[in-house]
Amino acid sequence: MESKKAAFMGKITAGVTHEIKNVLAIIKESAGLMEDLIALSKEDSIPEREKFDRSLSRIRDQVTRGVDLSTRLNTFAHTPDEAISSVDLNAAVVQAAFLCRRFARLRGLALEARPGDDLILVKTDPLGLQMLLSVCIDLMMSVVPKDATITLLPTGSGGKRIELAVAADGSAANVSGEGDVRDCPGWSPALEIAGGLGVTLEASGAPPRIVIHFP
Amino acid sequence: MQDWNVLLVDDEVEFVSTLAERLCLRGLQVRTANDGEEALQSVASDQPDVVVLDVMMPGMSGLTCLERIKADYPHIPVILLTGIGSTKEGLEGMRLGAFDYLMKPLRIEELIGKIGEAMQKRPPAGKVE
Repeated sequence: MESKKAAFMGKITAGVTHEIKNVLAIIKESAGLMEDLIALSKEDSIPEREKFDRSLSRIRDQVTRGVDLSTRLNTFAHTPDEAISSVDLNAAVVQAAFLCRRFARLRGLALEARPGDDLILVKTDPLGLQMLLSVCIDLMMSVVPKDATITLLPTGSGGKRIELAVAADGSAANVSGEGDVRDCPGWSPALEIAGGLGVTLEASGAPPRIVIHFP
Repeated sequence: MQDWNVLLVDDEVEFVSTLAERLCLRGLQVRTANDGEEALQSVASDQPDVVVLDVMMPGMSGLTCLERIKADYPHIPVILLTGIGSTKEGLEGMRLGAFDYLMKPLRIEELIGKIGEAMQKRPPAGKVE
């Protein structure tokens, strides 16, 4: 039943994102038509012309942003299409960082996916993997200091894994964190999800770090 | 460009009418249709130079409409418009004889460029009897 629910959510979301993109296409063309008419008009015939230009430019930028968001949501909506499939860990971390970006921003944090150039393929439940990544990101967010950047780094050599860590810059180089993820309430559920996926979790507290190991 | 006669086909009325206006401002002669049947009637009555055709439409699909246009009017280039999740249909359309496909929302300069390419490569007219 749970997998059917996920498939249903995915199907509806995919359909709605298609509609949203149609709406954005109409907004884009309408704004474009206004730009065309302004460009054709005499120089001084439109009062506050610069404000029109600025607003139209803003509309164009937000349409681009909306298209990006709906495209990524559509990709996520198709995640439950197959129970088990071949997943590229690079694409998985990029998707996870996008999906959790807003939650991080609300906590004054940033997420940075660090995909590599070579494919790192694993056979797994793609939706389950996104759930696990989301839970692990949440765990990291609960222990890292404000303004930190949490990185997601997939690795293929020496065993396939994804490492969540805190970016080392001048200010966060000696991050000791505000706790150990293993002491957080979310750690047990994370272990449960990991077990269901057949992967293992490794964590440390100083500095905060989680590693997802794939078989 | 001023002599180019384009048929725009899309079930989203506001999208197709606004796009038509923008193309007219650039000197093209544009007619519109909102479904596959209407598109076929329009092609039969006044053969356009190029057809711009949405892939996802209710009733007759864009791909079926494309097949029927290419069957009777193989010389008319058809440019498909695709959206999220219909890239596969765009590729299928290429296999069925579409000139090319563009993703919505599109840039008007890109569409006009594609129409121009289609016009340059357009084979001589010849209706299949």
